[in-house]
Amino acid sequence: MDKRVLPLQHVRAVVLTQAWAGALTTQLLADMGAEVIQIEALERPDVWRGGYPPRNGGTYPENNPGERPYNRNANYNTVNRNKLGITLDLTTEEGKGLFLELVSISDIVAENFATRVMANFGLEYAELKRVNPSIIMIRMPAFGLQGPYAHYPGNGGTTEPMTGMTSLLGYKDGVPLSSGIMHTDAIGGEMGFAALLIALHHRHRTGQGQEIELSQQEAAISFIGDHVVDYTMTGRVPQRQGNRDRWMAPHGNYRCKGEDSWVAISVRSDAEWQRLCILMGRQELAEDARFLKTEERLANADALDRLVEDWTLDKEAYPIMELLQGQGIPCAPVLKASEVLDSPQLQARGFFETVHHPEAGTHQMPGMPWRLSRTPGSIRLPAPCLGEHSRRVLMEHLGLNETDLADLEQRGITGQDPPID
Amino acid sequence: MSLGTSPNRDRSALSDLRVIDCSGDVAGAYCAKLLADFGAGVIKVEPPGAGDQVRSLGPFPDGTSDPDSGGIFIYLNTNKRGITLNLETAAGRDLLLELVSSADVVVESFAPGTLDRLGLSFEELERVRPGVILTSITPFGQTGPWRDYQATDIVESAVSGLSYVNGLPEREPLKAPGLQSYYHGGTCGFMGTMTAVCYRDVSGVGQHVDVSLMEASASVFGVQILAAQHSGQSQGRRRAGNPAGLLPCKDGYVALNIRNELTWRHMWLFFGEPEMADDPRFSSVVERRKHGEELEALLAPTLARYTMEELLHGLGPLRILVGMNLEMDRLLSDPHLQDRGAFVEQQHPVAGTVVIPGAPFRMSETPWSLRAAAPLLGQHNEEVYTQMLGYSAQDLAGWQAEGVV
Repeated sequence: MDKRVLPLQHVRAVVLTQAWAGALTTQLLADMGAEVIQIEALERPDVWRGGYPPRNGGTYPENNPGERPYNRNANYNTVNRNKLGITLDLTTEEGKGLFLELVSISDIVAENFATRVMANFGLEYAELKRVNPSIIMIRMPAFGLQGPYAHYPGNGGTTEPMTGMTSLLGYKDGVPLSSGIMHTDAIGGEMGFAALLIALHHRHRTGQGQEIELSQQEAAISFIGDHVVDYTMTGRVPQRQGNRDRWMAPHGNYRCKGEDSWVAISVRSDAEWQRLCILMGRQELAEDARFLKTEERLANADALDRLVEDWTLDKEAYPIMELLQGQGIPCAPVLKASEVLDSPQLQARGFFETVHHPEAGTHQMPGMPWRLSRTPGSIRLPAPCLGEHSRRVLMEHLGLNETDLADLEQRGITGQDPPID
Repeated sequence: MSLGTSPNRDRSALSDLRVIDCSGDVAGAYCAKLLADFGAGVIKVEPPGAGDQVRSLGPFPDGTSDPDSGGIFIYLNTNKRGITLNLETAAGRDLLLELVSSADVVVESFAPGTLDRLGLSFEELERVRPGVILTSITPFGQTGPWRDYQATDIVESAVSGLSYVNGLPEREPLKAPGLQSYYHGGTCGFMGTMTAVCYRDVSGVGQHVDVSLMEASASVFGVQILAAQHSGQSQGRRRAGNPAGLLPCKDGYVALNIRNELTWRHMWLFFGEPEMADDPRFSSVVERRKHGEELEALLAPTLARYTMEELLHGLGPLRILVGMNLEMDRLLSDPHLQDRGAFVEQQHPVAGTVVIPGAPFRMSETPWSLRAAAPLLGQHNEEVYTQMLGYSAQDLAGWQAEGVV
């Protein structure tokens, strides 16, 4: 079978997604082969392009924002691969009309603005349904479309604490800590695509579209359902406890030889503990009454962690992994971003794909998050430069001509360069 | 199958899908839960005896271990039917193939190579059921030098980059909160499965979906991986109390995000100290980021006067982003989540009333639904083996005696 066949190549989406969560949903859609057309306003490009001049964070190639920083930001360029990018001013009747024309030939519309924005545009589900009765629309505001907080804005940094997840992250007796990546965005992004796939299958069966409301807060709560049920069944509020675990000990990231170098070790059973003692050359610990059974190891975890770290401290992380994995004990180095890229497993599996971006250069990016044996998908296009495909999409899909385009560009309804603010 | 014709009377999007869930971990269970919660008919296949190891994780309502009352199992196996079957026996293998012969999806999390050894390879499944989709969820994937390595959530969090960026720079990295890698893996399993289902809708062709927990988590670390190539430096852990983190207030901790100069002024107006907005050290987002520590020192006494809810309701309408740090008790009683019905009560025959998270998203035409509680161990043996497959009670008794069921 031809592996260039893409599983969702029969699907077209016109999307107003930006930043991360919504952009990840539509990235996954594009990765699996859908034609995804992202719409941005020249006045307000995707916030993950970093602003012009740069002010919204993100990293640029060689730390140099360049002439057109909005085309070089790692944030935007990671999660918008495989998409086409056009600009349209939806606050004008003409821009809105062109958008609705695109909706009429699409299967999916996606957006993750604050709740009020689509209503302000006059582009809620009812309006879209009028031009395309079987359209699937997903809306992904931070706290949903209804409820007391529905109109409050949010981003990963502020929604993550609202899920209970942040309360679980921190050192023993310490303050809650935000994660380094902001999990609610990642989860909301994945769940958005999950929802779209359900809706697509339903449409394949019945021809019927629908509206999906995804609260990024609720989507993320489903990822800690085990903690929710633990609390509702026992009344115990989970305490922050560093890397300690509910069921396993030893369980932690232990310091190794080298700067900021750590190894993760978790021991799932008494038998694994016995084997670890032998590997550490400390057979006597295997008979130490403080550590015989899991409950005892959990109760004496402070002493246990010191013993393990005494052993790891003068060793490098990868050799420890080989040693412990050789005896079936879960163990691996704590990898930083550059080391994830270099990891033998991901390299051997060809997980990373090379992407050539006309303004940001050539780089490696994580490839497909799952592998379909017959229609795997791949990174076919780099993230679009601002407005890169405006002409192509408006001409090919909507039949506009050169004169139309020149007129729209002249009036700032579409174009490629944002106004300087 | 033909498109756009079959009626969908029960309003469940996936009611046409039959799923065999042979997985034995949190990731596989969550993948199959998503299928079941949106309408698929899922049969969970567990080894006789103790069953799925997730049953042992608890918590147990009265503190004593019982395979039928573990809370985590109950959460992860809603809407599934449950049977026991020993796949290590020839009879067990044949019965599984019989189940697969009318199934659309098989979910499994055995160590790579196990299905081949059992004579249940994808090719074999496809032979008895053309078009079948096999979803395999494993720690490192079906191939590569680490494919036989063991992992738990902390190991996956470590190798995917997620741990390195959590915690404080001077201390050990912290693993991602909860069982993050299993849920990402389960969700990727679901997305991979459903992508294959959608492709099968238009082509009739099935396939094997290979999900690596490591790749599932590394997939949400792409920004950091590209940024490391750009800057020659990998993102590290943030110092304590930085502006992207949480700030203490009267009754807890809040995250604040002030996106522009207008909202910066509005915030100080709300606090009743408008002149504070003029401090040149904090005149723009870039300046505020540069002087983060001074900013926190400046904000601390002001924030100490307000509760989390006062800050949320005071600053939220001014379009300032506010996040309250909800500990588990506050999360369950949060008025917004209560109003939306984000948590649902389920009656379980052994555990009693259990409260779990409800729909992860809301679909207007094909809603999430809770139709049945997680199965007791072997609860549907009779229904599946006798009513569905048509075997006799004696057959079933025989298999039970032989340890097949």
